[in-house]
Order: sequence, then structure tokens, then C-alpha cells
Amino acid sequence: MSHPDSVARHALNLVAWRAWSAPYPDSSDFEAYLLGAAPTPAVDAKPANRDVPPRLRRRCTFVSRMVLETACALTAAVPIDLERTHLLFGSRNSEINILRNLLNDIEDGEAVSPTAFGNSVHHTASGYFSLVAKHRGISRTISANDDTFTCCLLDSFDLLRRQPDSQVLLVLAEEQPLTPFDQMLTCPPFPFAVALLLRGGEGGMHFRMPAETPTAVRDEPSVFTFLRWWLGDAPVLHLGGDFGGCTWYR
Amino acid sequence: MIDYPLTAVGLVNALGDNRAAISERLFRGDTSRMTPCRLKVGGETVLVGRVHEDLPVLGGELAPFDCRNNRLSAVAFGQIEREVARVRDTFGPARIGVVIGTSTAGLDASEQAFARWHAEGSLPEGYTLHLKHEMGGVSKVIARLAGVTGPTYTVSTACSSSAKVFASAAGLLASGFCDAVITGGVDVLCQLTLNGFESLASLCRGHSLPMSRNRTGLNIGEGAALFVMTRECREHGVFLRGVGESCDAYHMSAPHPEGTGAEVAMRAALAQADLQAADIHYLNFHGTGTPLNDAMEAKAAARVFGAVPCSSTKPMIGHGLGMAGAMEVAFCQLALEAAEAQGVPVPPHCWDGVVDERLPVLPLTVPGQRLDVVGPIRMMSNSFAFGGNNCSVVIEARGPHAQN
Repeated sequence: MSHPDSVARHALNLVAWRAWSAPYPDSSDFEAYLLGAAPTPAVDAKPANRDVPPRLRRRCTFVSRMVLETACALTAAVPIDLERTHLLFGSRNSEINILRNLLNDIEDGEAVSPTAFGNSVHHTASGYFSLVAKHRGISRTISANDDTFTCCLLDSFDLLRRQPDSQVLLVLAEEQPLTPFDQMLTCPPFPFAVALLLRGGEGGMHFRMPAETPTAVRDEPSVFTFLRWWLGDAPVLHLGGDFGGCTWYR
Repeated sequence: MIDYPLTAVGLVNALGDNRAAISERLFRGDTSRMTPCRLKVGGETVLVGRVHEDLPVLGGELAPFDCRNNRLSAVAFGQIEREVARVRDTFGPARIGVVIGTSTAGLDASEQAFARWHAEGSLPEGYTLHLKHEMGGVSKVIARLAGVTGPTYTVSTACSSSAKVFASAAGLLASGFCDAVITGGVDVLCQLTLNGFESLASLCRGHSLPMSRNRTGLNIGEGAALFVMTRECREHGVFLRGVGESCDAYHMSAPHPEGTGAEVAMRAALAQADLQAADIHYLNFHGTGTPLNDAMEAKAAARVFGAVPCSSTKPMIGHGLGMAGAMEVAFCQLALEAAEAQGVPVPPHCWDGVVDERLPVLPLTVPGQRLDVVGPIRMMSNSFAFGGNNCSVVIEARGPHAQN
């Protein structure tokens, strides 16, 4: 018999979202891509980061710049009280390329750059967001292989349950790993960041964990699958995962 | 308010690979287990907190996960295995989650693999980055060891990682997603972290001396600390009572000089526990031994507590980075479980005894010191990380405390 909590439905609201990726720097282009527009050829580009002071921008990693581009765009577009906003950053491999270059420096016998070392921690992007936005609240960084997005949502749900008047700024980001790690890791189709503003309470979506129907994880970042469903009309989404995933209902 | 029993704890660090050995050396203030280590770049020698004992190789279906980091997890897991079996049998594997903090994950394996690729152009056979080194793999291997299938994830915010896991684990219980969670932290010694902290001029050459006028930096350490936390109602035992989190919004690799973010984290942990500062009987400092950390932490602690018995345990095992938060909560739990009629033992502050007159006066603990407390006993542990990411954890013992 199922545990009562395992069939309970939990409410969560997606208030707004923004995305940045090299081929789709505008969220509207990213939305068109999700909904089936012909893929744009890969390009090499960086976010503009107009909201980030140049002195800080120069120190930021590529992942941090993507995170800041989406998170700052979202906080500019939707009036939010940062004192009641929790930041959740989800990434499988985050600063893997900074780490890779540090490993290379060490093998070459070169001194490690203190800035690069400071930028090599998994939550570097959330640290820069705190500096840029003067965010002093809860800031967590989560990694869970294919389940990263779903586990971020579980963590978000608890924060919103504890403080019903708060909101969660959830940002997912990945870049494509450099050689030799590109041989070993699941690569996203292109480097991307997606920022979601989440609130609690009824009126939006519901989810249950685990999913009603066992579903294989798709060969794309789960946040892409989730956003495609949210933008469409389907009443239910089964989002796969190692622990059974979640089923989402409108 | 939260009140979740911590029903088992397992740990391994430079002091030993079992609770009895670690407790004996911890309360004696044994710094003799720190060992020299040569930095790959520059060749300087520093002290590190390396685990002395042999670590069992992960074999069978866990072989693809085998690396020193995951072996450390396996040693700590062995000490909680019986309790994990109990909660798994009671609630079912799908109702048990895993939330683990780390900063290195299995970076030790990637260092070796990268060195081979750098020299020979090919990665070693059997090297699987997503299982050995990817952050998420750290919690996945513990789920495999435990035979549990609930939500499994890793928190990685550098030196506050495995303090923050207590908040996420408590959230999984409070939200009803799990009935028990295996939580804690693990980190392994790596040349990258050693050379990185050297680049920041943060490593000292001898033993770290937290709060001393002579402090010049930190030692790095490795280890693992794992807990079982449940949402069962219990009268007696050790309980998670509060977790406070904050950000400095000040600097990427230096704390706010006045410790404003640290103070917010400590007060938030007290608020969640519905306690006053005077209700805390012992404070485990983050206490790295760097000039900046100790200065700000002493100021913040003095503002919050005035005077509370306090110490840094890092001189005995090194700074465990991503596992430090869980390890220091584990030290508090060892103290609480050792409570007896003669009082509660507390980890001593290991240093050279040279007071830094610029810091507020705080009652640093000494070897053999015991707390004389009537009623519940409460301890707080601080963890502060790069990016100004702060976390404080409060645990409490009630009733007869020995459990294991």
C-alpha cells in the first residue's frame, strides 16, 4: 500500500521565466526552439550582462554570466522582494571547465590563479548573484545527475511551504565540458541557463512524487522538458528520474 | 520549529575510522595525527588531516564508483548501516532520501585521470567522471550502499555544503517526501584544493592556530560524516533543532569583516529552534585559523552569545571543506551522546594559547572540560563558505543520550 504522502499532490506556481543560450539569447527564441522551431546552428557567444558592473563581469565565469543574465532579467521584469527570495542554483557540472583548466595548470607546474580557484567551486554563480543583487537570504546549490531539476523543485517546495510569503528564484545552468571530460559527461545541446520564479499556494500546477507512471529520463535537460509542457496544453507531464520522478498536473 | 531525531552517526577523519577512537582523541585534543604533504606546485610542505587507516576498495556493482572520496563515504556508512536497515525495513526504500554535502566530490579520481591524459593522451580505463567525480554521484553511491530509492541529491556550496544538508534533509521530512534521510558530508584531499588555498595565501606551514594572535592560516583535511535523520517522534536522543542560512553579499572569497552574515545565520538557527542565545551550551566555531575568518567569527559570536564555551576542532583533523559542517555537527553529537553524571565532555580548543587582543574575549574550551547542564543540552556549529555562504546548525540532546 502506498504511503499517504507518496500520493499527495503539492502545489507550486511558475510566475515567470527567462532563458539564455548562445543560439537563443532571447527567451522568446528559446521558447520557439522548445516548441519545435528549426534548430539554429551553434554559435559562440557570451551574455551581455548589462546589469553587472564591468569590474565584476570581468571576473565572472561563463556559467556565472549565463546565470546572472537570466536571474537579473527575471528580477528586473517581475517586482520581487529580494529579502523574501531564496536562490536555488541547480547544475550537474557547473564549473567543470574552470576545474579542468586548473588541473591543466597544475600538471604544467604553473601557479594556480587565486581568482580561478575561487571561481572553481560548484556554487560560484550563486555567489556572484549574491554580490550583484545584494541578496542576503538563503542560497543553495544542488546537483543530482539527471534528477537535478526535480530535486531543485523538491527543495523549492519546502522553502515555499515554510515561508508562504516567500518566493524561490531557481536557476539551472550547464555548459559543454572541455576535452577530455567531454568524452565522459552528458552534454547539453548548447550552453544554457534557465531562471524560474516560483511561488507556493494553489492556483497553478500540482505535482506528486513519485510519478504515476514510470518514465525514462529524456535525452535533454529536464528543465527543457518541463518548460515545453508548461508552455503547451497537455494536462499531465511525467518527468522521469532515478527515484521515480514526478507527475505534474495543471 | 523542527525536532527531528538524529538516530545514528558514522564518521571517519584524521582522528580515526571509528567512533571510539575518534571520541577518545577528540576530547583529548589530539593534534598529532596531522601529517606533512608536499604541494605539487612549488613543492612546499604543509600539514594535512589525512585518514591514516586503509580504506576498503568498492567492488562488485559499486566498482565504477570506486575512488578515495567514495571509500571515505563507505567507511562512515558502515557505522550507520544497522540503523539504515531499520528505517528501510520500517518505511520502505522509496521513503528514504539521501542528501549529502561535498565540495570536492571525487576530484581525487579526476586528478589522477587528468594527469594520465595530460601525459599520455588517454584517460585510464575504468575512469567514469559522472560516477566518481560528478557532484550528484556522491549521494548516488550512498543510496546504492543503503539500498534506498528516495530523492537523492548533493548540496555543494563549498565549506557550508554539509551544514546546509541538514536544512534540505529536514525539508524532505517536513514536506512528507521522506520518512528518513541519510545526510552528511564527505570530502577528499586533493592537490587542486591544496594548491588553490596556497594561491590564496591561506595555508599555514605548521598546525593551524584558530583565534591565536599567531594564526596564519588553515590546514586542509578529509573525511566523511553521515547521519540518519527521521521524522519519528522520540522522547530521548539527539535532535536537529534549527538551521540558519544567510549570504554576506560582500566578496567571493573573503567574509564580511564584521561577520554580519555569520551573525544572521546564527540568529536564524536560534529562531528556527525557538531558542535564545543563552540556551546554547557550546559553540563549535568554523574556526579555520585564517586571520579574516577568526576575526569576523569572534565578533559575530560575541554579539550573539556574549560568552559561550566554544572551540575550533579543525586543528585536529584539518578543514574538511565540504564535509566540515557535518563533521563538526557529528563531533557535537559525540559529545552529547557521551553525557553522563559528571557532565558533558566538549571538544577542546587546540592552539598556542596566545590571545589576540584585537578579538572579543570568548571562553575557549580546554582538554577535559565538561559542561554541567541540567535539562536539554544544546550545541551550535558554524560553517562559512566562499561566496559569503553561511550556515549554522543547532542540535539538542534530551534524556538518556547513549544510543549506539
